Amino acid sequence: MSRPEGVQLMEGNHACAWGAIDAGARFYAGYPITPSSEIAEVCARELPAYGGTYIQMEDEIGSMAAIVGASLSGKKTFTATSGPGFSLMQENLGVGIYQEVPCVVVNIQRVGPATGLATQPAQADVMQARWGTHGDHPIIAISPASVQEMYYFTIRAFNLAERFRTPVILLGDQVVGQTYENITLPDPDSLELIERKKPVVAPEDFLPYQADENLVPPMAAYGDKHIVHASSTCHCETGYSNFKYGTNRQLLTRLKNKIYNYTDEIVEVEHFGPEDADVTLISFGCSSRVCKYVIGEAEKEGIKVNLLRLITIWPFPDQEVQKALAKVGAAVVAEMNQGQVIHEVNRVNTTNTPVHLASGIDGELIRPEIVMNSIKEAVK
Amino acid sequence: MNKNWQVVLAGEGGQGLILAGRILSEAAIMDGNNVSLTSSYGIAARGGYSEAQVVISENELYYPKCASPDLVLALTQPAYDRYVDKVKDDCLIVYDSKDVADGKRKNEFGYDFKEALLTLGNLKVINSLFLGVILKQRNIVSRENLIKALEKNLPPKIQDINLKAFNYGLED
Amino acid sequence: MAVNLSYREYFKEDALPLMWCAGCGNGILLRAITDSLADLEIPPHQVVVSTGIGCWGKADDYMTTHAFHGSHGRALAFGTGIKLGNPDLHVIALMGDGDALAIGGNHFIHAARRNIDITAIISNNFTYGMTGGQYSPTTPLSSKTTTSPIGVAEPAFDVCGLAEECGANYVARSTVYHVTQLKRLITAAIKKKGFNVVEAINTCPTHFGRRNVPGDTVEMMNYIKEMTVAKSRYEKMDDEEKAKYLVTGELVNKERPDFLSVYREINPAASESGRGEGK
Repeated sequence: MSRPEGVQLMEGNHACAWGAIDAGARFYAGYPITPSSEIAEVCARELPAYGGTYIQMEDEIGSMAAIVGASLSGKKTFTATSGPGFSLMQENLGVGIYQEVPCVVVNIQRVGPATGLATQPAQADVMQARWGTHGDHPIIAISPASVQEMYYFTIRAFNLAERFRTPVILLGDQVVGQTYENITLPDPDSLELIERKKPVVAPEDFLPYQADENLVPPMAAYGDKHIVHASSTCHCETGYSNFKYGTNRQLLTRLKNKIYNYTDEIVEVEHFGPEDADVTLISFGCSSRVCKYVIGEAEKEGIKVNLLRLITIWPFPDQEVQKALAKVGAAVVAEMNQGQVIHEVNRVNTTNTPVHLASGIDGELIRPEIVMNSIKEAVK
Repeated sequence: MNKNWQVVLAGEGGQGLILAGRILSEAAIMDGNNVSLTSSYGIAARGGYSEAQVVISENELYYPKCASPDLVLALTQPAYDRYVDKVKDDCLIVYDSKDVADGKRKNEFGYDFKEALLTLGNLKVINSLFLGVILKQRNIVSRENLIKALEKNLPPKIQDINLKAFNYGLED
Repeated sequence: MAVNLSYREYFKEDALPLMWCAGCGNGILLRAITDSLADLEIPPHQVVVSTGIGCWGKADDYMTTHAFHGSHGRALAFGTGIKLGNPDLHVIALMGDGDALAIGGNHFIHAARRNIDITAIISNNFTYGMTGGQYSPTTPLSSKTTTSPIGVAEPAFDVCGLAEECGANYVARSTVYHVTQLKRLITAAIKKKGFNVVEAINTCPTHFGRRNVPGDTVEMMNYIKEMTVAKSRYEKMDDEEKAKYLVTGELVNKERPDFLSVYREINPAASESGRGEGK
């Protein structure tokens, strides 16, 4: 097999793998789990020809560890998993965040908890993506809604990871992962790729955790003469463990600010439908496509509805949601869980706009009638 | 051939439903349309209920599933039962007349797939056969592009027999 | 061997004093490793130590090489990524007994099975020292620990036996008492390609010793000296006698191709620069 040329019928998971390869990923470590395994399969088949390596680890704990390790050795790295595997990755996701290791974690969400309705779609790992690893930390998560976006958002995830020196979560779901759609892969040379910043100082002056003006430390690789000391223990600019009063505050503050001071570079939303509406839908991922469909159905019944689609889930698009809520009489959050994004929506709901939930928890793409019923309830 | 179509191919594992969905989808792409193909099946690697849903649209495609199918192929009784009461009136159900108890609606078409396969002398070509059968009923995709997609997806060794099955379904 | 380098090249002297207890052998083990690196003349920037969590997991704080200090039990999993990310590196995983064999046991057996090119140096002091002296998978049966006040009810792992069974390329055992042998075995393990394990029996006078070895640190040293026997003597013993001792020396020395060699042989494209590189 080689890189697909021209218009293709492609599965979302395949598009994700090609996005990663085109973004420059040269190392994949993973553990098989439905509905994400096709990403591993493409990487196993294709990476060697790109000078890359695929390794199937003994579990998802090891997979997450291996992509952190290989990234520190200078490679762009990623893994893909689903529910139970994402739980196992949380431990070393925290290590990656704390040590500021660029890498991408793809979570093709399925119904949980536990084995759940294996391997049907859900969007119930939104809060796990935010707070799954222990301790105080920032995270970046973006959510694709189509095969096309599985490709482009994977590239975007790598760019964000490299720009901010941090793990980035691609929060997909079984629908976007395993649906086939038509896609044309672009010329890889036409893609804008971001690469991690290398040190500009001499090896003897190099401090591996000394941040630049963007609060991100330039990154040497293992094997460089610039010595890298990466520690999961509280550390100062040298990278060595440091327990002095103030070091922890300084480190955690910088980790947060390097992302939250730059949300304008990260946060993306899509506005869909009429500008003025009776109801605004707020949704993301596969559910947002159902919303787009329902907007047309609602129009037939004389209800004007628009959609604010969250492309970035974390950091949460506070301002965009706040503005949308202020402009409308009622809102409906459509998500495939019993209410996760809705809590964030209510957190920024300074106008006290009534917010309803359209909740899809049946192990299938949320049905249009569930969203429609919530819209009707909202306009009552 | 720019029309919107929602097609369900339902039956059981081993009948090549998902491959047929793929062939139909690729033909629709060659026709210049947008396509979404989804499938569902049980946890068993062989057998059990299985279906493919193909949505074809000349516009941007939002809902990737068949919200309101235009055509349902039902190769088994469970497949027929799943759809018979919930499809709209002008949805055509093409069913296996040997496997499915007498149809109960107006807009349906029974076809004896087993007899056709015995005539063809190959039981494995059922998916190419049913693609022919449904295309005879409804012009979902162009026949030329369906043949191209068939050839693209099948190894050369078995192309002739599958093309024969497709044409048989188309003409029978 | 031409010794142009000193252990000091690898040892971070300004981090002294060591955090380990008086009487703990981790300092001896650290010296043996840094001496070995100096003897092998491997520049510090070509070495990555991947440490786990626990007393021995703090070893990276005292080294000038590249270092990775990760999560409990995962030093080999991180190390696997580090090695595959840059195959030219010497990756040395420093793990304790609980670290390598309890929480990290799964990574250990699979690292050995796939024969990833990592040197694993296990400091085995029969206890979880940093958490207060609980029993570990290597605590001898019936020993007293803070979580086995009357005696531990579980038999101990034979670290080297486990490594051998799982396919490790090189397996050796020594103690922090047998300093010369320890250094010789570590040097051989670092030099050799493949998954190479050195178990260093270590003293923990603070926890294990206090509850199980009458006397002081010197007695603790004698205890680990007397619980071990050289391979040459061990081989002449009958099974009943063998059961009383842990054998030291080079126990396995095979020529299994390491993971990456096999991977590159099976995927020939992997060893070329690759058609997509640079894109």
